[in-house]
Amino acid sequence: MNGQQFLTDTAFRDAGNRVIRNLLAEFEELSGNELGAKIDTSVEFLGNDYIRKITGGSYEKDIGPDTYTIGRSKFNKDILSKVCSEMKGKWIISVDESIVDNENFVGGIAYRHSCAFGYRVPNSQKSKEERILAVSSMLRLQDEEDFDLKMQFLPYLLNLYVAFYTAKILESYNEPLYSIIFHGPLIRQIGPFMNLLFRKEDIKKILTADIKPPPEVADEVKTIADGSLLDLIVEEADYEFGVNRFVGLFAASTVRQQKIQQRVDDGEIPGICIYFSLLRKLSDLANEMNFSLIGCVEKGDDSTEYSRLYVQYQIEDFGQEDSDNQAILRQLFESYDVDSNGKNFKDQFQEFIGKSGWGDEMIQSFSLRFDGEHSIESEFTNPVPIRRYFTSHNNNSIFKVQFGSLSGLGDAREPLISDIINKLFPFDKYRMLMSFIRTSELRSPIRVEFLGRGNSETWNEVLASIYVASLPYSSYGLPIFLYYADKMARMPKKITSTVTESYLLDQANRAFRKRGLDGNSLREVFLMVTNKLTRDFHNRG
Amino acid sequence: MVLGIIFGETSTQKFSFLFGDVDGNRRNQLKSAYVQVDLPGDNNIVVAHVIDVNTENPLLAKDTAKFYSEPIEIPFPDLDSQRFTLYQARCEVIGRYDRDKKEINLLTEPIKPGGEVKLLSEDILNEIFSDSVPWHLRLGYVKTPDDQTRAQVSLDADSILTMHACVFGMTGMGKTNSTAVLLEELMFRGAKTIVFDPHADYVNLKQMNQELYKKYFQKRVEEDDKSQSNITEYRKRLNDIWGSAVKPWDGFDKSFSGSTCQEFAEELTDENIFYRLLNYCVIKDRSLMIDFTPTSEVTDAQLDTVIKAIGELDLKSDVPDELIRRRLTIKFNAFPTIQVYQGKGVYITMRLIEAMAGEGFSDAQQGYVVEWLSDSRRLNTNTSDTELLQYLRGRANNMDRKNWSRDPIIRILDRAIRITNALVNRGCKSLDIMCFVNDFCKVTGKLSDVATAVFDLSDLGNNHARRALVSAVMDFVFDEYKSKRLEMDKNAHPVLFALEEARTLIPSRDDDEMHPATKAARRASGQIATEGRKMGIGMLVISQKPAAVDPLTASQANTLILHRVINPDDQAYIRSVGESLSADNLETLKTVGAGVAIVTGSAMKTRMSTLVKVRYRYSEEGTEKPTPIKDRWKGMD
Repeated sequence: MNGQQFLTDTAFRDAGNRVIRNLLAEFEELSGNELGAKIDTSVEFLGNDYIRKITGGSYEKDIGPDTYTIGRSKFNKDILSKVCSEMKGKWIISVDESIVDNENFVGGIAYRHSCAFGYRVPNSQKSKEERILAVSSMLRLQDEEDFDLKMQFLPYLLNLYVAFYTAKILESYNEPLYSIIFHGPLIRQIGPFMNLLFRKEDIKKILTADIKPPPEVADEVKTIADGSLLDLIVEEADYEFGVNRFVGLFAASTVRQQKIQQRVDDGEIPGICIYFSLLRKLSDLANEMNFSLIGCVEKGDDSTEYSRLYVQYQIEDFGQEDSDNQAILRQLFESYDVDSNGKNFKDQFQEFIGKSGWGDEMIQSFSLRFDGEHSIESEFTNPVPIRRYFTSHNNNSIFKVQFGSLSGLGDAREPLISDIINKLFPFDKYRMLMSFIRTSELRSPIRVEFLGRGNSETWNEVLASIYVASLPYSSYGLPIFLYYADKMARMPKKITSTVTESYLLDQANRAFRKRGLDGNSLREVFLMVTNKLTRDFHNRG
Repeated sequence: MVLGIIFGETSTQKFSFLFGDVDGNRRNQLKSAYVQVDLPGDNNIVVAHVIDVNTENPLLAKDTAKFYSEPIEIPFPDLDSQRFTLYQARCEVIGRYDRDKKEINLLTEPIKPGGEVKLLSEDILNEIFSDSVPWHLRLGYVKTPDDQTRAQVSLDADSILTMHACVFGMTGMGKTNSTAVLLEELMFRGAKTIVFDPHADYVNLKQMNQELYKKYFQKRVEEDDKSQSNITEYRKRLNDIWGSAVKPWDGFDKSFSGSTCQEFAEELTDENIFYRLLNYCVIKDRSLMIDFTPTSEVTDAQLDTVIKAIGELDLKSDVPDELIRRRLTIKFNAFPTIQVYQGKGVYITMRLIEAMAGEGFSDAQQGYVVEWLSDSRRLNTNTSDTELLQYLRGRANNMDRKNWSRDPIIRILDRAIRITNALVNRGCKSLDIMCFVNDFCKVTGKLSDVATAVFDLSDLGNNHARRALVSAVMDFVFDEYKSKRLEMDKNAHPVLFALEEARTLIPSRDDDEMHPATKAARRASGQIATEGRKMGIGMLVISQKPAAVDPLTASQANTLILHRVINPDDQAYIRSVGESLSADNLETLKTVGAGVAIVTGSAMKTRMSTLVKVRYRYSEEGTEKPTPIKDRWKGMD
């Protein structure tokens, strides 16, 4: 292994350790000598910087109407200076969520809460300003089907809503907005959530602000705060189109489809439709107000999207360069018992990723360098389209790889899903891009996802702004605004338990009154609830 | 002025508030400050104590130091959130203070976040921690970050006297001063104290500190007719009461007469009469207390007010006559007389012999000694100690030479004789303990009007002899009160025992723990600590090594005055005996400076521990602080 790099670069060292740990786990049944040989091969491969050589190669790829150059670049002082100047005097919004799950005697209680923290970068005319601009929260009892999945999905909507509402508030005050940064992916893997259908009042609650806007804001902002955004969305023709296709997803069972149709007719909301509609609204607003829409992800251990789709061509090019390279790759793949029979390097690499556990973050940790000693010009991968929310079929036609979060749903459903996405969030219009940036020598590269507005120069400026905002807090590695948002969003479990208790009492009160129970019975129930079913002198039964 | 805003979770016991820099000046010096939060609706406020101040500023993380220290090549924007550079002060609620009734009550509902936090006013702080009644001892001032407050801390004298107290702290941290302040304050308020003083720290309690008097008062007194005449009048009155020839010891122990006559005469000098008047004035009006700590500023106005008050003090109506006529201290440089004490059995005598010899008798040897002592006719105090020992020596000598007990008994008796003689040669006097106890404690006793008896143990080099004296005095007092021969409020005074360097007098463990003198001392102090309260016998235990003090005694102390303690054993010990001490208090205990103590316990007006800047004693110090290096440079500039 590259000794100097191993000593000075924390991310390189951590990734190297992980490679060896994965090897030990994968081949634990082998003898010491055999395992030692495999470790030697990997260490030699990494130590000679072959990954950096592989990912250093660039190539062009047509995706949709555009051509993308896949490869590695370096920030230069000009672009960094430019973004530094441009962000001054403008607001940067950071969005984070708080997820608290409590187990109670009635089952799970989930509390979700999103918070948008605004910071105005000072310039010579405008002073520094910071405030919580929007909060939206929800508390739910485990009282419906797919509860856990729904609770995973709803924070996506909360985040999008607080971001949208915040941008609207700033627009109302004529305050310039530079960017909205989410802590987490900008676009989510939506495969598991395709079937989710929500009660309208639940979604309405999520699309309602906890804090009412000041009286002087525009009326439009007030209606958004009151939950009227949902009414606007459901009236849109594209949304209606999406809902129709959504019902079609259940065609395999006529009875089920009829039920779904009935629920949709009653006003229930398909998760996928509201999600993409909201994302589109936010993206439209970003275009209109000229701000960047960004998501930052650290610890993307499991993600293999970049390596499966984009690195495979670099591997192929590397193998084709000369016979020595071929021997090196072959040796690496063989050490992981990859079947080479009749397969090209791309296919072997696909299998290799599965066996070795070399995900995106690990590959980028070996690939992207940070030389804080001599320069602040760090490295990043050129922006590429995010393809995780497309179907396998859709991706396979471009990359010849069965990859997509919507795979496994059955061929018959794929066209319907593609229809929904292409209608509600067409890639040609809303390019969702991603890059890996090395923001600190102490942390692995982070994945930055953003709405690709303008041209590649604009894209690089978005990345540069994230890099600049990450510089002050290098052991965090993410834009410092996300640290602020994280602190503001965090909700102690103790507080939520008080809230959940009162919520339960309220629910119990309503339920029992509905059934006409007398005061004494109610008292007993309340005692049981408030004492959490303890049995003592006052609660004998 | 508003300090900050309450933020986050609050309870009836704790809350936090955020505060920032004001006009660029960091205001993070709030640790140990007292703050208030106004409650809406009535005239009540919440009073709280800042236990710690912290900041979670990520921009101060160590790995960002490089970023901020090196010039960056781009026009970097200011990304430092003000919110995240604020300080957070964690507060402990003391209670809800009713401004009308001037009393503090339990807070029963949490304060709402968002409330404004202000510094607590000095008047309220004073009301919370001190009382103006004469039976409250004025220990010092509430320690605040700026050291500016004059809010006092007072302790209930009755609680100290009957519910025991401890003063702990490392050497040089102010234990002796705190103890001296307590003893002074007790002395002038009517307490009777027996002090065991291994380093002669308290032998001068009766005297005004000469340096202070000369520096601050002498000239003022000379120029003020009223105060001067009050001093003269007081002296005359004492002379009249005590009689022209002061002979308090006649019939008590003739060997003491000479020295005590001189001691009492010393109490009548100008500065020592002034000392009495000064204390009475402060008892009458707490605002007259002055802190003479070298770091404190003493103003002319303060001094003038005191002189004026002394001039105006009416000795007939302002102070009870019983206190006016008191003698302040009597010093004993003594060891317990070895004799068979009437009504006490012979075992006590045997223990005294063992203690003086520093060696115990075996069971078989004890049989002989007890028998001989029972046979002895020495039941009065007129014979010397050596006489009894020689009698026993004679009996031992007559034993069969083949008896294995003979030689050890002779050895022990010889050592006891040698040590007794050596003590006498060094100037120590033999004190009839029974006689002393009766005369000091009884209302009709010859020492009834003496406030403080100080046993100067500095000449008793042998620890066993010290413990023998302590155990004998304490045991006899306890026995007299327990048997109701002496009874508080009937024929006897309440008595407080002060044990300086308690680890040497009542050790928790010792190499020669099994020595009878050690056992006896621990037993005597233990029984007073556990049963003394209702009889009016109290203990004040002072030690630099709390963990080395007999735990039974220390655990009964209801009031703790804690100077700096670092040693983990001592910290753990304090945690175990100090019920109301929080973890924060214990942390603070590691860092408090000299002269500052955490005070906690039942004697406080509000049962909440607080940091106290103990006032400087008015009395003359005992042994001077050694300054060997400074002495080398004497006379040089």
